[in-house]
Amino acid sequence: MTPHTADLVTSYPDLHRPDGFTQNGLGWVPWLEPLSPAEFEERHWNGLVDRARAQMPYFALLAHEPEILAARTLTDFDIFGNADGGLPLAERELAAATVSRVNGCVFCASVHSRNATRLSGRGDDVQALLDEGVTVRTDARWDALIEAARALTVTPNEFGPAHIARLTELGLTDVEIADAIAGAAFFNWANRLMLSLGEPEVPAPRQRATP
Amino acid sequence: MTIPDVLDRALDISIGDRLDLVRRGRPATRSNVQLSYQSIFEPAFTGALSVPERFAVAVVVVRLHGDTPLTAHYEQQFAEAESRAEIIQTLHDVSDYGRTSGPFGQFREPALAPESTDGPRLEIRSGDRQVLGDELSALLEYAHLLVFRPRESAPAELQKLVDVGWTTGEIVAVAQLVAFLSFQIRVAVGLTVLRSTWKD
Repeated sequence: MTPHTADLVTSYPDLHRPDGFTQNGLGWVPWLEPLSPAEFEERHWNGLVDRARAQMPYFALLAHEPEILAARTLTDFDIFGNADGGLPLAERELAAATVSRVNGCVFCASVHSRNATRLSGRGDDVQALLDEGVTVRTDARWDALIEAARALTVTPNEFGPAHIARLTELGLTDVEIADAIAGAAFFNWANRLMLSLGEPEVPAPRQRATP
Repeated sequence: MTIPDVLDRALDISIGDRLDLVRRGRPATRSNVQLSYQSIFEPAFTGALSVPERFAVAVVVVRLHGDTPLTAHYEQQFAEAESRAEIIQTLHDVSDYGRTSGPFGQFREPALAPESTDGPRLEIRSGDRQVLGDELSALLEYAHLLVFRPRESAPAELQKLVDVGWTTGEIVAVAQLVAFLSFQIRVAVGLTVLRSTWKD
């Protein structure tokens, strides 16, 4: 891979790009220069929330605007990591994967389809979502969550009372429905950052550690 | 945090009502969504993008989404930052001729080529460009791309911003702004629809 840099913008003519949606791990390369470690001041470290993220080009690039990065990251952690009641985490990941499928964010879809599989044990259904798209049929509950996330993602918005009614009939509470809304809405944020500031790559095969 | 925040005001949520309780069931999300708003529209470091520029982009982005619960908020905030009627009218005109449906776009990935779709890209008309300037016009064209065809993002699209003078930090700031609004609008729409189904 030979990056070609013209002024501020970098393109990657020889990048090993993914062929389509996948649950396999992908890398991500930035089109703009991430903040280098030498440029980090206190506010930039605070923006990362987790200092180890300085090594990741996506977060080091977003660290140019550290205050919004910190608030974004803490929002992300709560929507997808707060297991204090509400929608099961696997189904929040399903919403994230669905939205990424609709918007066409191959990188985000890889991370969150993998998370959905790990948390639900339903790798075949998740793969069907990636392969067939959001019209896939799985079971009543996942179908309703997938359709709700799709409807909330398209513009003009198609999310309506029928989506809520379908979830309510399946037994979802206010808080669970609000979690589904938040998970889908958040990936309309995350997809647009991942898609607009860089692109995914297939990582070079690594030396496999002996188990 | 007990005071009403931007979403509470936009959705006319009162302390203690059913939707307030739903939002307060996720206190960290509630407070960090508000903090996200403040970090974009009330920045402590104003180096990247002026506040009127931020609200100008926001007005167009919300209007591109149609009638949203947040449109009035951003219109009002922009009007406080920019009093020239000609600018406001031009942003409305751009929003009107920029409105389309999405997401659409060409996929970069070969296996997804059959799913590629096409649609109108925003090109600011020359008269409007004279009113808004090349810098803001470039931001609005980029915002339109992010709203409707984010998968068509490419180095060449960022280069257009660099060519009119925007820096890396400013491009990150505008990407965050449009991406955050894409989130905030959907939370507002989703919660409004949820509330509309309640009988009490």
